[in-house]
Amino acid sequence: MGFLKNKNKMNGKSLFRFSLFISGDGLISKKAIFNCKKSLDFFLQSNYEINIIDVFENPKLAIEENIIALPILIRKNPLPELRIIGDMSNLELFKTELLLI
Amino acid sequence: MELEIATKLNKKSEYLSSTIEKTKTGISGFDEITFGGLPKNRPTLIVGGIGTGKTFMSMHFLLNGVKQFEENGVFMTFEEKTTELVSNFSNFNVDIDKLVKDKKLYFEHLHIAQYEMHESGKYNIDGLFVRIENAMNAINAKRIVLDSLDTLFTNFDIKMLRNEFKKLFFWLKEKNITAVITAEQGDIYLTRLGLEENVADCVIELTNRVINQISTRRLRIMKYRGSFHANNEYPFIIDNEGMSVFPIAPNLMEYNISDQRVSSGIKNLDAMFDNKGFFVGSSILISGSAGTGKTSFAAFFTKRNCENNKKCLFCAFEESSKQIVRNMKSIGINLDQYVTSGNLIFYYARPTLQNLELHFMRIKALIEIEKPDVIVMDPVTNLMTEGPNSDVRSMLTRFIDFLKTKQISVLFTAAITLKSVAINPSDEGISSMVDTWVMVEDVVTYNKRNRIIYILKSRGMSHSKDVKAFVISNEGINIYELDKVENHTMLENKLNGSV
Repeated sequence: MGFLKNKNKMNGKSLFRFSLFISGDGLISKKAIFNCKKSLDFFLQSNYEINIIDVFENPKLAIEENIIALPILIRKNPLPELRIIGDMSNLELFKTELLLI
Repeated sequence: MELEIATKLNKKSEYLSSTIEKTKTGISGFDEITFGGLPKNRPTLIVGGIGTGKTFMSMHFLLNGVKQFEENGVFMTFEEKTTELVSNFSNFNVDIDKLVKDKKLYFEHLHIAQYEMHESGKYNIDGLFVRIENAMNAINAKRIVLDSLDTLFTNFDIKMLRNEFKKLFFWLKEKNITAVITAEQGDIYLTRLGLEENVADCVIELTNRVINQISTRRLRIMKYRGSFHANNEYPFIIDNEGMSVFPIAPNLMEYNISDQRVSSGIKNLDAMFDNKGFFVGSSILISGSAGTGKTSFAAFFTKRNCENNKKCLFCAFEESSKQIVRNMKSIGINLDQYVTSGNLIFYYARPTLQNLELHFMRIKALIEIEKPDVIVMDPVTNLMTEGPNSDVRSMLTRFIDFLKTKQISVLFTAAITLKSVAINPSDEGISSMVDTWVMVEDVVTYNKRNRIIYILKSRGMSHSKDVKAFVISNEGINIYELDKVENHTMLENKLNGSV
């Protein structure tokens, strides 16, 4: 993953920015947070930003982002926007989809 | 005795309908067949194929809620953009944009683009719940529509959806909201999930079948938990006024039976009916093969009623009104003057123009506006080419019932002869529905066609059993004893079958 190290900083901001939407603090939400962080840490070390949002507290954001299925991880940067739904237990997807620039 | 049963029945239906609270839809006819509307604070499923009117019906339910019952409504659409949806209903006589601004209505488009999405492990559709709740709270809604749920199927895992839908239906119940959920009909999704059986309290099926190139929309209540409901398939129409289920099943116990009589307009024919004519509010059938003078008969009946300053509605399915007016002049009837005086109204439409239900709805609407005393349908058999005969029959029965509740006398003309009844039993269906049946026949002797007339039945009055001669001349219609006819012996022999 050497190529990422050179590219993942942009003007001091992380190149990779994610939003993780969850619903409440149930098992599935916890799993999603845990798996997300684990995978991102593994691939990107700490060179990423993640914003965790509970839609129960922020329903308006669910409308804005047009969210139905939860949990959902949205790659905000770099574009294009990418979405993964589920508890993020499939590590392969991070490598093949989310981290492709 | 009958009255006793009637009150018992009424009590029973009251009891049955009061076991569960209902929300009126305001859809004409629908609240009647469900005895009060949809189950209150419970989910109802509307299933049907493409273009059967699911979205329309649910939108109608919401708009009526706002307009008539002061209940705010939420419309969650999965399929159409909200702007498209609103523009589709723009000719609906209601300012939807204003209602949205006034926080009476709330639209939200739930766009699912699965192709941009990847699945990684387990998930649920909590986002939908959050958005529904947010929408409901935004306008304090009492009604909600989800249209159409099965869009989700194409995007998400079916096993997951099964559980989630169950959760959704139970959750909606807890929220004290009357919900309408539409879904595409089919063995593909819903039946496989068993949603109809398990979760919805009320399931309504809409169909749009094409028979003989004419499509008819129909509605059926497949299930209504805890409530009595009508079981049949009911035709319905969608027009500018909205949706109406045909017919509003009249309560036959309630209508009054009249002892008054209405003249047939032909003096000697009245004589055959006890010297008085038909009962007011009864249904009369005049039948015979082509050219036996049925329309002339109807014209005389119309004329007499117009003369008595009654209002007549002449529904012509064969000739245009102008042609009828012209033709009737040849037998000495000037119908024009009654059209000018407003006593006579014509309804003219080709039977193939639209489906049967639409004809009846139009006529019914005309009746509500014009309030006629008498209706002529000439000829009713022309309607029978549209749709299978059983349809026509049930439509006619309901139409006659409707007219009875309004105390409107109706005269049908029909190209039915005793021979055609033998061939086509459904023809007899019509004749068994009417109160009075008069038959006109052509009998050919040597060089002349003679018309004869007789009464086949007339409920509740003594009537002549004679066969008489029926003569149409430029002075009008006359009925004689057979022996007044020129070559009467030959005619009588012919009738007796001895020639």
